[in-house]
Amino acid sequence: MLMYVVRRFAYMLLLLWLVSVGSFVLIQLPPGDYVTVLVADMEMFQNIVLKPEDVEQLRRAYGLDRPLYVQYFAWMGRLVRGDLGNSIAYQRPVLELLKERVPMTVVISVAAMAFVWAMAIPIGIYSATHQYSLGDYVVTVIGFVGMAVPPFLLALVVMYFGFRWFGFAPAGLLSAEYIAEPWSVGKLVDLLKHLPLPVIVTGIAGTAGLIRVLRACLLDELEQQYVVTARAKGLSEGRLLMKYPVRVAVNPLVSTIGWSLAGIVSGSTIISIVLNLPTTGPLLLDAVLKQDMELAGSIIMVLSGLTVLGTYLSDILLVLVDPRIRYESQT
Amino acid sequence: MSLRRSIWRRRRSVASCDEDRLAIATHWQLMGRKLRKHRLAMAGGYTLLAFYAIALAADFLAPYDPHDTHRDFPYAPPQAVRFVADDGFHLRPFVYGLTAYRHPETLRRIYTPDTRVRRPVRFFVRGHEYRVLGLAPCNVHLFGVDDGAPIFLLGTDKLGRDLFSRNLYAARVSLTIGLVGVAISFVLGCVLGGVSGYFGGVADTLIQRLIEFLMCIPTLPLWMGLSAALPKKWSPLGVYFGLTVILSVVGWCSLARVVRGKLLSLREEDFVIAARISGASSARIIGRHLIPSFLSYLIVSVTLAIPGMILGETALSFLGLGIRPPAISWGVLLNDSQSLRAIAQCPWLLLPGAFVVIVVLAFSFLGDGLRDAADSQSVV
Amino acid sequence: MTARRFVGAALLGAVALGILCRNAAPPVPPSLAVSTGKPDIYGSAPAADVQVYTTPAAFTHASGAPLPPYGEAPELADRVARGELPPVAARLPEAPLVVRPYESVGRYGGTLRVDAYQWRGYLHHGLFRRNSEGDEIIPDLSEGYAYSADYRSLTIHLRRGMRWSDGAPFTVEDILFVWEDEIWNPALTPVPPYSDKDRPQYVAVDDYTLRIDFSRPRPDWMAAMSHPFSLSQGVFFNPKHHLKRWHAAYNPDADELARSEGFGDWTQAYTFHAAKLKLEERPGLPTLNPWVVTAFNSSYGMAERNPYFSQVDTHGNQLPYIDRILALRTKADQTQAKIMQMLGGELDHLPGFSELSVDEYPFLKESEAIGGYRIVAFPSSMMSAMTLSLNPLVPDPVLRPIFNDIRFRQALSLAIDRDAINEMVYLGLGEPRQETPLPLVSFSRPEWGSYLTEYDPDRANALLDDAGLAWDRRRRVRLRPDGRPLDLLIESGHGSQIEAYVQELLAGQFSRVGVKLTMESEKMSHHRLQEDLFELLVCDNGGPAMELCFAGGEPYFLNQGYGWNRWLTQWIEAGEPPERIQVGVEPPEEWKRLALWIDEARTLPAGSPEWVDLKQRIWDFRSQSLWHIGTVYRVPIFDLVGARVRNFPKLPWYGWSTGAHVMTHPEQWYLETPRP
Repeated sequence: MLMYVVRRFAYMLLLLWLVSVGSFVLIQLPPGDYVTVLVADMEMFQNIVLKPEDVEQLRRAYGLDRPLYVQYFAWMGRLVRGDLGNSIAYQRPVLELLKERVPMTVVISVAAMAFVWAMAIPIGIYSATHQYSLGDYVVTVIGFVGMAVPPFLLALVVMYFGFRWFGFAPAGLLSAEYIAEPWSVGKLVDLLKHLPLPVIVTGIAGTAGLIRVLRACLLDELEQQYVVTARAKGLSEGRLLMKYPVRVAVNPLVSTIGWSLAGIVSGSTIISIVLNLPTTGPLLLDAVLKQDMELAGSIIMVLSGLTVLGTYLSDILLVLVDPRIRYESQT
Repeated sequence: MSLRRSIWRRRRSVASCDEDRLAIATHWQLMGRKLRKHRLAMAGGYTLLAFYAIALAADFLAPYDPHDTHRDFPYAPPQAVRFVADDGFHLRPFVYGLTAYRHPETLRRIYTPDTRVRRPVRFFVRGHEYRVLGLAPCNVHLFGVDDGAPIFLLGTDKLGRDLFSRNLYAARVSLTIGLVGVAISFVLGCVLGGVSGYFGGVADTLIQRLIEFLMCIPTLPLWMGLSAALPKKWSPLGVYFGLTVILSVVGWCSLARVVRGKLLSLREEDFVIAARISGASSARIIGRHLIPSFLSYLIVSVTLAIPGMILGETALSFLGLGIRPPAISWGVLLNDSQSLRAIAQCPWLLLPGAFVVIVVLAFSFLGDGLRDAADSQSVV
Repeated sequence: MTARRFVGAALLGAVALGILCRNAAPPVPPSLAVSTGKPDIYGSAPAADVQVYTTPAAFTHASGAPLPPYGEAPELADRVARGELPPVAARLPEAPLVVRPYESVGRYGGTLRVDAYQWRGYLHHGLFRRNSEGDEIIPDLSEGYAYSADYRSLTIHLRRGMRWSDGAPFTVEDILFVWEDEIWNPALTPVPPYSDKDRPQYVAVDDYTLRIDFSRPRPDWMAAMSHPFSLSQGVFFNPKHHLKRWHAAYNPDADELARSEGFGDWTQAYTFHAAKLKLEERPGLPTLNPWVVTAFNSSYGMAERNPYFSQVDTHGNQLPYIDRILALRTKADQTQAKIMQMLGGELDHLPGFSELSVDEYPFLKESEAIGGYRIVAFPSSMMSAMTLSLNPLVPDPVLRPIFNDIRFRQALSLAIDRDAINEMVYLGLGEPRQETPLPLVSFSRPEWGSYLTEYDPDRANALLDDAGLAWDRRRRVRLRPDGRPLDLLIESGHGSQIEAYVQELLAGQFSRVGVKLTMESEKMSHHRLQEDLFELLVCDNGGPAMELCFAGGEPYFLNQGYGWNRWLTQWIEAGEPPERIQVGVEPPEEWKRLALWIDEARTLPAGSPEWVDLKQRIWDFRSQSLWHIGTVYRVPIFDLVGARVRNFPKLPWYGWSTGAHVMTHPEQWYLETPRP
């Protein structure tokens, strides 16, 4: 077991290195760099025309005149020392930007995830144990509709009608009057008022998927011999269900937990864009668009690191949860 | 094929559902039987058949060329096809003419049906030219009105283009992008996942690292980077296939992980060991014993993946990375509806969203039914 | 649930949608259905402009009444009482600028909530600006300017006793600091923005008087620098007392200081703190603006009243009226979220320029009452609201001769149905026009704007036939000389939806003359423009073809073909002989001649007969070259102004050449109810 854990850890580091190279390449892939974006912005909004020499000077000021591999190693060197670098566009350390964004993102994501699990697990169990009942159909249809609506459409429609019917425009996560204020009861209440819409819109798509997976697995399990045996032994339905089939059926869900870790930190980008939520998703999107290399690269690295870590943990968790999986050296 | 045959057979033996037949029925025959019992799945299946048929016949069904602009009718609302007028019932359906004016203050174009002008709907009229199945030129359309007068069943967009026609053409792209994308990711997922899970060792390590690599790069930058790499002057068809591949780059990974996870736990089962001892080849063990044993799970994954692809296409369009005009997809059409103005003043622009929902629902129901049906141990 | 029920549910859904559609039915009975001519959305002309008096004496001279004693915001009065601030008279310059507010003298207080995207428009003040008609240069932070009779030297007068927001005096030193220690410091500016030929001399006459000596007559200099962002902080002056600690010339340990702050060397640290062009993102930097930035992060920016701001209203009250500005940072292109914030009463102002497309007008107008705002519309000062540009240096060797054939460009102009574009894209408000100086510009000729703007596909086809572009056999598309179909990539300057609509309209219109368009609706990268890689480009508000400065010179030196531009820059400004020029591409003779004219026009005083003559020669040529094909002009730009915001003026024109909402004088806005 220990060997397995250690070996996986070594792979994890290798993978992270690969990701750093991959994301660097990915960000550099579109032609141009941050300065071309900046210059275009300046011409557009400030009526300032730069000569090629000025552009070169800007490039030099931002260190973008160096060869790509030098830029990569400079970034990597700082990353290894735990310094996420500086955003060119914001002219601030990436770490500071993340500190502003990550807490709110985690609040939304965790709330959304709690919403998803709280909805999906009972419904999934109900749906599996009452297969083909009217209730099963109703939750199935509702669940699927939730999954079928494109999230950006749902977000905008819900936002507009929320405003028309309740007079409340939940764009953003805080009202303007609280956004620059220190934390207080009023600010918390304001946050709670703004939270339900993004949570529901974010969660609703995931719910249906989870219901289906859970229902499918549970149906498989319910037909296993041990269930029949247990039932024959006179175990109550509720205990029977919870003790084995549900636990096993949750297995595939466990293997997805790892990946959701990064999702929790990045938030749902598209919904965040439409609802104007201060999450890391739009920050990353903007950074990639503007080719703000260190910001985009470091966010990708943080998210990827979390994914890798999550996968690592969930692999180990899987071994612990499902005794059928071998972890010794595989030949 | 076998599915349809089993349905056929069942219909013949409705009167005497004899036990013998059931006992010798194959796995797929049993599946067909059970699928027919799953009403929701059948409804989904028929809906999909209808949608694909409509997409195939889009040229014929569409009254207008989807790119034709009608400068006098931007943002025209859907027109009702009527049978009853002031003077009673008419066998031939008709539409009223449209009168438009611009509101002097808000500048909004406002349309009212002109009940004095009645335009009968003609069938099998001649219109813009197209090619039947890409071959024979033809210009017959199912319906239309005289003199190119407006008949906008689903309204028009900003440039006065008929949304009914545009939706039909959009269905072609949106409906196939899911199938093609899923086909690519299914093959990749099964093969690589199978190899990885069954053989383990170096192959497993390599494949797992590849999957992890692809999966841990956040999807958005991956999409953006890849679509930035698509050449500018590609034809819409080229862009379409490029996007399908981009979508499946992410798609196959999760499927491969599922296959691998299942194989990992199943390959220790007695029946696999038995097969191995009796000298069955690896391919046979995977193909005959292992995959069928969790086929239901695969089917759920795949049918859940098709809607994912269709939705993925709309998401890419939303981010401006998807299919580009003049190519039309539901994602492209939905892009026009991304404003409060559209929701408040021209909700018919949201209709492509309704079609996406219906198709995704239909796929989900069908997949759901297939899952239940493929579950061979349950009692018919 | 059965299949029947499924169908039932589907029907129910359809009915629901139907009801939804019905709800959106017209709110006005069709009896009103008479509208003739163009609707007037601009309202009546402004009764009175925001009037600016350079000094209290000028105010007294104009109004006959002396300026009352200075007043200040209660919050500042408290701080004075506590001894934290000097009294208001000591904070103001000896002769402050007097602003006559638009509607009425305002009241102090409140937080103005805006979007951060164009935040600098609220904060920014330069040494000069233009009046709202755009035809006069008026002092803002400075007290005035004077040219010598031969236009070889320019004197700029600063205000005596004027102070930075931290109380330090603002003098000529702060201008020379930028000029000598930044622009002429090779470490900070390796290639200075002036060639030796044009390098002016800056002379400090005294602390408050700057003389600029040019090497040749430069009457155009003030006109070119009259944009509020041109002679402004970061570009023209900066607080020396604050910044010199990061500059190696003043602090031998500047490198160490830079490294301790996480920068590589002092130049990086200096560039950061000097905030060139990013003033609004640098809290702590002293300014001369009405508000001082105190916070700027990824969710919001905050700016507080500058207690030393140098302007007062006609009652002697120190401006600004509004206490602070809170700028919410919404993703730049998320206009819908911003509209939602406006509807929900979370914003007090949303500037329309490059934010709200004409398309949004009907909805926003209908929502005025429920949103609690008003729409204030201005005619745009752009020469053409949407311009189609052809790249003379298009990389495809077959296309280049085609593009360079004037008949081809004339045909494209004739193939554009401008009425259709106006009707569908601009709500019928615009008027067809080529991209040429507006009628109100003094040297403008009427025939420039209407040159080949009529829609005449037959003539266009004849011109294309003449140009040797034959149809293919089935008469679907014209063929290039190499036999391939004439298929052009049309790109988008800003990636806006309006541009995409125009692209699609043009694709339809050009197909009638056999020119096929492949569309790219994503924003074109600057790289493709600078490297002359594009073929066709449509661009709204700005981009490579900018609106014309009212009285000034050419907005761009030359905007056709960056390769030509670079070559001409070397030729004209550096005075290099043609054979030694290494950059860009040598343009045709006529363009060289044009460049010489433009250069000559810079030395003539605006309005003189020689100047008018030269300008007309320049534009006779440019308007007929059709490298930029205009569509319509005089389309509206509209701002959303919250109900509690007062003193928001009407302007006769709106555009970047006059400084966008800088021109609305945000320092004299006030909030009727300070709390929303």
